[in-house]
Amino acid sequence: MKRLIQIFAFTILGFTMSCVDLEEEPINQLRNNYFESLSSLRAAVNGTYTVLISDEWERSVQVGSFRVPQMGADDFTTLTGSNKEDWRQFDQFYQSSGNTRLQRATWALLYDVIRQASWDIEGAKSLEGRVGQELIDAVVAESYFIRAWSYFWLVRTFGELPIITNTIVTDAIYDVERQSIEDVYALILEDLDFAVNHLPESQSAYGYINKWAAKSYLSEVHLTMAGWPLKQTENYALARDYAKDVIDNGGFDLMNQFSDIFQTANEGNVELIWAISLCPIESCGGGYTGSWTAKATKPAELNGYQDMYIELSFFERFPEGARKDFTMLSEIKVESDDPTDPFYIRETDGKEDEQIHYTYLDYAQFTTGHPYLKKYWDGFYDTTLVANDPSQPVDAQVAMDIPMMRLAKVYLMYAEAQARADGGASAESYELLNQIRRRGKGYTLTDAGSDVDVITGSLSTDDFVRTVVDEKGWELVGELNRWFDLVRTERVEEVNALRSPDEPLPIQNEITKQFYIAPIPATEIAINPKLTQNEGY
Amino acid sequence: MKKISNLLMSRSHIFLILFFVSVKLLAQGVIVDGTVADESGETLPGVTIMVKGTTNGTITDFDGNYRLEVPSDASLEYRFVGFMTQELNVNGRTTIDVVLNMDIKQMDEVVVIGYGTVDKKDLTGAVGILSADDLALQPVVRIEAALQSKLPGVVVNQNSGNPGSEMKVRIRGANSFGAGNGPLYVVDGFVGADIQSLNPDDVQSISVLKDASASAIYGAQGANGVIIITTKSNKSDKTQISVKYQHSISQLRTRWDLMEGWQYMQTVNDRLRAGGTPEDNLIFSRLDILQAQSEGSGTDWQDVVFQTGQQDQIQLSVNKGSSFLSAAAQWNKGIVSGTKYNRYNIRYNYTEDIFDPVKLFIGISNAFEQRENSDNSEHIKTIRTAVGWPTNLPVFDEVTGDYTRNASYGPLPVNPAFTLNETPSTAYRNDFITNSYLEFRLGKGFKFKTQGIINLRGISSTNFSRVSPNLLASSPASSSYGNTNRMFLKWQATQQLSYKKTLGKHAINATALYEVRSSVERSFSSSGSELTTTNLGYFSAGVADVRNNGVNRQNLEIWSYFGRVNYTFNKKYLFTFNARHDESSRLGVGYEGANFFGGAFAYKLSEESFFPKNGVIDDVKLRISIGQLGSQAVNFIETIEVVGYNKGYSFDGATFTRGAAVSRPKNERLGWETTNQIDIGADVGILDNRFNFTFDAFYKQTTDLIFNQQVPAYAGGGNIKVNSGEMVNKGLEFALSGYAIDKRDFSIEVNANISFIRNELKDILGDTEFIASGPNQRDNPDLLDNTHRNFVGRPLGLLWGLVYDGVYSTDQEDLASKYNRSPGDPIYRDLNDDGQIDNEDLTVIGNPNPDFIWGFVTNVRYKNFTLNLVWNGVHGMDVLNSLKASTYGGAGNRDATNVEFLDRWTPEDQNTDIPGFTTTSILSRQSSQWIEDGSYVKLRNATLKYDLPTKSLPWLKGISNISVFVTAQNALVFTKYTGYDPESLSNTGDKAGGFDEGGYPIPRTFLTGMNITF
Repeated sequence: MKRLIQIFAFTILGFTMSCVDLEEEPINQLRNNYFESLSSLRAAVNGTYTVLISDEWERSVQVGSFRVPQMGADDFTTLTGSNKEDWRQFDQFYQSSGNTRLQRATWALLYDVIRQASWDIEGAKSLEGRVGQELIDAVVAESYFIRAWSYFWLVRTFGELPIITNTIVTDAIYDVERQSIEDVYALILEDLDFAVNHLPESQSAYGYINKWAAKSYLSEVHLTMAGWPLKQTENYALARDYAKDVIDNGGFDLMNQFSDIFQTANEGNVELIWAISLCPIESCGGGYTGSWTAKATKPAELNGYQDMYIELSFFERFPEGARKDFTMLSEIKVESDDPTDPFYIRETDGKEDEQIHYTYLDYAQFTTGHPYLKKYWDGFYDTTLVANDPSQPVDAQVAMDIPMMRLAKVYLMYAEAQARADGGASAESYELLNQIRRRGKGYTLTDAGSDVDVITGSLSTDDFVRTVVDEKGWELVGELNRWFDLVRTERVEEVNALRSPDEPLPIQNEITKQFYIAPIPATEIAINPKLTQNEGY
Repeated sequence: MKKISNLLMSRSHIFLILFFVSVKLLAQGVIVDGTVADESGETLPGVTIMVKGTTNGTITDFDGNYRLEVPSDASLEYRFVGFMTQELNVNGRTTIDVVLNMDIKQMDEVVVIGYGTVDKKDLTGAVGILSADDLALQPVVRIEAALQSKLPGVVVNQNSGNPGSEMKVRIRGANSFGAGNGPLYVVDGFVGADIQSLNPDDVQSISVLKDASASAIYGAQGANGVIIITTKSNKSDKTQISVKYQHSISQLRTRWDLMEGWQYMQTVNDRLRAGGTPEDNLIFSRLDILQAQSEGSGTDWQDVVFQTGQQDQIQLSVNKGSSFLSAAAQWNKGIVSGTKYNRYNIRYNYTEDIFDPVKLFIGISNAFEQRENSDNSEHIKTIRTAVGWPTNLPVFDEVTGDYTRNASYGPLPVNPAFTLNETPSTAYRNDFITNSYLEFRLGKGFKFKTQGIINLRGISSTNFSRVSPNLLASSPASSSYGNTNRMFLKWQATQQLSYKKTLGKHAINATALYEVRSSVERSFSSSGSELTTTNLGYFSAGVADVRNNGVNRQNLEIWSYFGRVNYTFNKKYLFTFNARHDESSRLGVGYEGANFFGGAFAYKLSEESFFPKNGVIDDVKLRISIGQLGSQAVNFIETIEVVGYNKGYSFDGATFTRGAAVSRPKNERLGWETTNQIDIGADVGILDNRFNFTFDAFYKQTTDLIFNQQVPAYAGGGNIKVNSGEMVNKGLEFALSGYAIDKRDFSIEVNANISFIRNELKDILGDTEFIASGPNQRDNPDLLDNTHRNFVGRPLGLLWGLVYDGVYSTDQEDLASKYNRSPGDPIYRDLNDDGQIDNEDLTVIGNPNPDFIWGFVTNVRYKNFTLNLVWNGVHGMDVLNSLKASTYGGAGNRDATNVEFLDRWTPEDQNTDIPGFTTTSILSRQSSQWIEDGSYVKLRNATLKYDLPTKSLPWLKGISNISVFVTAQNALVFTKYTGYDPESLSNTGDKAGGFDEGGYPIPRTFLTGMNITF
């Protein structure tokens, strides 16, 4: 009988189990709900930064592929052969909608970042009422910033865009149409306003976005809106005011030496407002999380990919001085048979020390015949690297951060916006320009009246702006800025006219405004034919 | 009672007997009275009682009582339709109560259908039935094998000859493109049971629900058909113990004829010579070859890879009181070295009326399985190398003492002996199920049943690989280990209220149910590579330099309410209606619920008064059914937002902070695949119902097929599953079963069936015209494509490749050079005539879907001997013999091993269709050259059983039965196919069938056994 009772109890168990679950609507328990606390939101926002430098091949801000749509500027060119077709298309102005690096490294990457940011924003909304609203807003403001930054990048690259601000795949996503450039900027400004209003002025580590980064970008967004194609010139005043706020109240300073900005040891220095923060392979492991920019800009002689190197004309125009010496690689140390050449000592594995003589090759003698950008090499080159030296480090994942916004840029944005907004450059604007020029030459910042100074009031507004934009070109070369400045100020045709006839890659089409924006990737139009293609592609 | 009177009504000859006996009633000797009842104690009216050898007799009255005056030494015969005739001696008794046993053969079968039973004659749907008797004479390791060849419309394919490996079961074709097409299994009411470790000897009956009306009660899981399995319970009060032991050996049925070592060496040299290698630089010198020839050195790797398989099985079962207990153990050794499968089953079923209106059932079962080297892809790798590896090489290298490494010739994969011996894997699986119900008879025709099932399953698998001999031991990257532990907890709770009532001409049988099923899976896996030492085998895992861990947890739930009404009017018109509502946690919000309906109508034409009762055609039942079924054909993870932790971001430039990101967005529009099916059928009884003929025609349409749709990069990219597309299966099924001869000492029972099934993919996604499937065409490295294609408007999984037109002869040099080929190269047809052979010239080269299949089962019984034969045929199926292509050398395989290749093209001998070596040599491409007719006829099972005449052997007291049997399985195979077996192809998918990569061959098995019942 006892056995029977046990048996009976067991069967009843089956009965009661079903009753319990009936009340609880079991279906809903299984829905995934990731956002449960502020820390889950924090991790989600961290995840959004990570997508910027995601592990996926060719889909990261710090790889050479991200620079493909900016090759039309006068600063970089690329190899005639190898796998550099995607770069060549933009360098030589025969862009195609089938450009895979354009699709993957810019379009798909940034939309992925946008989706992650939107997911954070949706998640923050689901946390409302459960966590202090200020705490939520301060964290999710970073995602608002990143979404705005991504759309800003996309709108300048592609023009009109599909605007997506949620993460759910529905039938509607196949019917999305491109929205006007004004609408995209409206979203950018809305997101940046949220960021400015909620971001803290300083963060626990320099890699986080702070309020000043958002203000600096508000300045750049307004400056851009004032130029091509919107030409809403009333925005110059706003650009000026945001920049001024950052200069006066941000607590940033110029570094005394240009080279000090680009030292791993100085990461997070006082000039830096926001950078893509990278990590040395020793600390953070492999993958694509280090800076592939270093490898992308290195010559084959130093184990580089040489995705891009400096155009001859740009090198010649680049003002001489400490900045140029630091930025440009124009000679390479090579082994020499000539005993009169200097020598260095290399320790070889288990053998006696060898004395190796070396000499220098001029860039004209490089295999590509071009100088290289070396600002991302962490000052590594001068002391250690010898061309084709088997003992040199193979992995070029130098963890040098990629500055996206630094005070020097804000100075020059301010100078331009002030001159345009006020119909002439102020003495302050001349002084800010001159400080950048002095440092570039190697002078002290305060060395007023130096031979590189532009005399206050000596230039027309247009000439002043031109000087400022060119100065930005030298100062920020390789910092993903030049192309957008040229488009905004409609100078793409002008600077490309200066291209050296010795360049092995000639421009293949007459440059028109068509080339100011890149083609929409063909793969996207294939999936959604409602997306229109940009004119001329 | 009603059942019995039905029987009386339908058997006209009964009346004749009654009439006959009643007029001849005479009184003599003693008066005997008594009651006649059936096994369950229910009294039987209308039983004929005859005094043997006379025409004297009577029949029982309405209460089963009889009274008859007989000689006191008379012998009485009790006869009743549907029951076994019983003979008793009066021996002066005056009261004789008799229990008649049902005659299984003639009894009106009770058929198990979803959540209930129905008399076979009242079936309205298309249901295939097998009983324990049908299974008894065919020893099988897995229960699916018992279904093979037996039922029309049910295709069971043994994809692998590895003992205990899964079989492909398709009921009326494949419905889904992207999801599984296997049927739903229900074991003793446990929906979605896993039959992998079910002991076939425990099975009492199998019902296969094929049409929509029968399976509609399973709603969202029924689209692929339902197989209901009922395990044995004790039905009588007799105590019975039976013991079975069997032993078998199995062998490879056919072999590939491979080159001798020296022939192979010569062929390698010939290849090099044709490629321009000077004589001095050939790999093998003349001396090498002569030496190999004289020593006969070399290896037929088939000898290394294959062995004689073996099985031992012991089974004990006890029937006592309310209990059925069985315990079984089996040990299998497969024909590929190192493959093992052991299983230990125990089952306890307890059925008891605990007090008057309450019935209790408890079923507890446990199965423990042990597998070694059961990985299918490893088998393919091993078997491919068994026929493709250089036949001149020894197993072990004389110099290193280690496994012979890859040479500069021959195929790339590693020495098959290494794979067999140094990459062991084991898997343990324990499946524990408790299943119990209480059934309350509430009176007035109402019954309530509450059932609870808990299934706990644990799986643990490990694998290990030493450093490949092709690499130096100092480069341990290729050493690896893996370990996965998975635990499942499933439970099901079913509440059922039924009602059964007959009112005059109306009979109603209704049931309503509520059911919740839940499953939780948790797993932990760990793998690693670069082991610093591998001396301890798998236990070297602790010294792996690279280690990865994975965790997974899935909760699934489905809850449903549903019901069925059967209504019969005047025993002539039968109606069935099913309705079901399901909610599944797998699907998108708003799509998780779905309703399914099914209905059927049957008309018993033979019940009409105008129907001639001439003993030729007896029963005729016409059936039509229609219904809708679903398939939750998605992994639940497809619908939810998948969040992954990514490596993170370095905010300080020195350390990483982990981040979380959406790796796949929510997919809120994914719903069920829906299958609509219509079935028209007829059941006909022929020649006094000695034969049953069944016919069914069906049309099955699946809509909302799930396909991958590309997501624009602006919405996250990748692929997402959507409901779109349509597939149709239609077919005809015929079955005939019955007794050709049915005498006391001699009977022949036959069961024949044939089915024709046509599949067509009607629509894919948007404008998509085809989807490629199957692996990449590794034999076409320059034409990147998949082995199969699925076109709108055509059947699934067509073979895709070039058209082979023989070999360029020296006369065709000009034509050959147009394609950059030379005489001796294969001619591939330039379909678009553009002067080059490229992807545009690929076309459909074969259809692996058979035209028709048939099965034929006979049981011949003569005295104590019983012979069971199971024949089966599959016709009109194309197979691409990729394994053969690999024995011909060429791309990816480099050197030929097949002796046929010795007859290859040479300038001197051009009368061949085998391409030869040239400077532009390409020996094999995926092309029609390798398409073969895969049709086959198999004698799957031949069993001869002998029952010892125990009654005549007094020294066997207490033993009620001893039988001995011998069985041959896969004994005869008639096929033109040149590979190991056209059935055991490596690929199991419906979209990549008919592709022989080197599947585990089905062996020929000889088995002997003995069964003793006490």
